[in-house]
Amino acid sequence: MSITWYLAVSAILFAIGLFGVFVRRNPLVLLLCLELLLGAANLALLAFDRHHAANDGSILAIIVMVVAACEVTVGLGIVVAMHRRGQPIDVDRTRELQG
Amino acid sequence: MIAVVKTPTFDWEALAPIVALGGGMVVALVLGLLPGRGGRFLAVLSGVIATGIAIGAAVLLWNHGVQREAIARSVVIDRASLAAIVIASGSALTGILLAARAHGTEDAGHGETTALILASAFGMAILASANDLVTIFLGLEMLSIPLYVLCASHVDRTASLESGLKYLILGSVGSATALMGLALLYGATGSMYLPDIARTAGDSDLQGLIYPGVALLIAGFGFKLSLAPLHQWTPDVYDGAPTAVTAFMSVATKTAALVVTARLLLVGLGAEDVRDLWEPILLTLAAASIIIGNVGALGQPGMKRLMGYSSIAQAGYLVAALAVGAVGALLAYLAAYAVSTLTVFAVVSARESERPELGDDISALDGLAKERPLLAWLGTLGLFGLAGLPLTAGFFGKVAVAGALVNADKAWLAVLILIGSIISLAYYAPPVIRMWRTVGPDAEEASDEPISVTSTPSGAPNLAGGATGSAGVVAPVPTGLRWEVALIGTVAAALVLAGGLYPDPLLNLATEASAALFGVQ
Repeated sequence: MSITWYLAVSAILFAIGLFGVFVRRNPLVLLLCLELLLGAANLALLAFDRHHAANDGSILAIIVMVVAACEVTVGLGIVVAMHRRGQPIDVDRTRELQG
Repeated sequence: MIAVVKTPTFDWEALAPIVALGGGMVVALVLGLLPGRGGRFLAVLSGVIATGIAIGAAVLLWNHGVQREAIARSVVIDRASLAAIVIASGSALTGILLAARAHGTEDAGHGETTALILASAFGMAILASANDLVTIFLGLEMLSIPLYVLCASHVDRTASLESGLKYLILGSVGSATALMGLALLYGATGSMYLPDIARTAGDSDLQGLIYPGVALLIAGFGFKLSLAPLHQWTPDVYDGAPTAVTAFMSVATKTAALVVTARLLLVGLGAEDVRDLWEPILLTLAAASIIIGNVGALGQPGMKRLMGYSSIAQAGYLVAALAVGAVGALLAYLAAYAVSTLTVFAVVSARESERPELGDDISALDGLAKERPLLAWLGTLGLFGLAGLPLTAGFFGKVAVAGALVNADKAWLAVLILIGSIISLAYYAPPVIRMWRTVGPDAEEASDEPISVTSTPSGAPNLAGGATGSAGVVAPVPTGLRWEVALIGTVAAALVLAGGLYPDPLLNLATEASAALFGVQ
């Protein structure tokens, strides 16, 4: 199968993730969308590895998974801290900081 | 590529500054666990020592003209990365000292705060020395994730949590965008190493992917640098984060991101046809940042929001220098920007603990010259340095940037920088005027407050919030001038003045660093 298909799926995943980040309001869904962005990049990396018959991309993909876990950990920690303070879990209603 | 597993070579001597930051992080985290004031003192002390060793080692390596690959081919220590390490460690030192006795740090934990600042500085050192795409991504995340936590570290303040969440989401979008760019770059060239990318660009059948790759990379780093269309998070996050963290991240993040972008674009993607793509993008982003940053800063009520918008404009000036490949001018202005910004934040932080009811509001500066002449001088120097007035380092930095733009036939951008600097006087001057004008009874009342300046860090500072068990309910009590804040502010302001009176060393060092960037191929 041509690498174009893999890259097309990766681009679609990236677009869905980016769309979600700017449209959705719930921080938990936003974190999921971030995972989608990183997943899209991972798919591209692995496809390129096969194409170039190399393994550098796989190494980066594993590191990306570790980093994604760290980001979600911090994100969930902040969401829990906000919930404990009784703040609304909705990025549109967090109004202390006006953009 | 290679079937045999090869152990990487570690050049510990060249890695000394990075090891010092990483080691200090672990030590500060452990020592911070000790109960009471001892834990705080030891955590802060280990942070100060770690950053001190990092700066000292970087200076020694600089004097030896070190230019080598420190971990296999992935980490390069040269004068460009050493310059970034010195600026990042210096701002980490400032951040640690500003946080040491500030409101709220007690609840966040002194060991944790110091360790996270050092962890972020460690990531910046890695990022500035990165020579392959994997290390770039790793350094970027090592820099960012501790900053997300630091922004949210005042858990009893709503604004702090919100700024942490906002920074986490938008920062992660930036990182993911940059990662996608790195992936496409790898696909286009089949290599992770920057010098190899420069060599093989154009050989591969997927060569066309290099263009979207570069665009995504610039977008990703544009988030981190808070360049204009991607800047929305900056004022909010700077405003909500604890002042010490804002001071640290406004300087150090830009330094590391700019040095790595320079390395990536000029070493890895310096080929003529790729350059034709990224140069106009960077010039456009720079122009937009200068306009939006300078206009947005007008009329901001809080110093931290003002500094947020001002940092967008400053990022515009810096990226303008990068776009024409003038790394020497970039580093000279970066150093001037770093010391000026740290000076201003030292004053803001000092005022915050003296007038906690006003926080970072601009009115907290009223009558500062009468109450605290030292702070007023520091604030004046810092703000004038940012505006780029003569007798400050910022002036020569801006002249260097504008000169590089004129040499590169981009005089229109130099004119825009000049216009931006004139607009910037309209928001840098009001805080200075407030400091120096004589004010009414409001300031008299404030000067009656007891002032306690402790002489040793282990002494008895009247730290507000330290004794309060219930977080966030008790209003913070004003504390006196913290001597460590005044000290670091004075050092930074002295550098602003030194760079303004005698700029040759600064410009020479910047030129040496930029020569090193192009040396490793």
